[in-house]
Amino acid sequence: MDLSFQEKSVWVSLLAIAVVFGYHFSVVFGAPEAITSIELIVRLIGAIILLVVIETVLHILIAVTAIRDAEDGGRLDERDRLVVDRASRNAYVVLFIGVLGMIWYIVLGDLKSDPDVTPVMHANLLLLAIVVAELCNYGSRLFYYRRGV
Amino acid sequence: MAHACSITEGVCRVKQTGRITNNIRRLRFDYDEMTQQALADRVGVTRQTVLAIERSKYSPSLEVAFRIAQVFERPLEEVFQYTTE
Repeated sequence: MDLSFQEKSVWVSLLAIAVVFGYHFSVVFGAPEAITSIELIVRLIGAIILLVVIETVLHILIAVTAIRDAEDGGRLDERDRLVVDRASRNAYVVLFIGVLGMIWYIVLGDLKSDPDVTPVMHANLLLLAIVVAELCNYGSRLFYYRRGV
Repeated sequence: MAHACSITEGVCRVKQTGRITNNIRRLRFDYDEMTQQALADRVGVTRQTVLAIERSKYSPSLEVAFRIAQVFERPLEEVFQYTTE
């Protein structure tokens, strides 16, 4: 498959987010009652640092293997910009639905006085909406790069 | 071909669906077998964008279309064609 530096970069970001936050959510949703606010913050900071490290290392690797592309890899041409615009539009829709669902969940939980609807759970669900929107963003970019825009 | 008519405005616009094709691949061949990378460098896009244009997976902006035509020293309509279905 003939991938540009931009496309490889999108693959790296997609996989890094999927792996790091996949693990994060498997832990926090696996035992939601065991996660305190402080623990959530620590886990989040750890996840972000790990994400930055993975992305940096993998971007260096793809830059080394495709030096010609990487030389102007930071520059987006008009097709790249169009792909980013369309993917961002899709991600916005996903984020919007996620936030609406979250509002619904909070209101319903409050009405029923559900003990599971804790601030930590709210934070994790909001984070999940952001992560899913980002996955949609990167997934859409790959789709448009392959199918055409 | 779809028709969009407005009684109040008294107009009927015809919305056409078309397809942009091009002869870039042949022109590159005729132009001393220019590579996609060489064309991309001269036009200011990535090689993958030239590839997408050649395969009609991406319709370039008017500016890029003119720049491609300039590289081959041909008029725009000799490089790109618009065909309606």
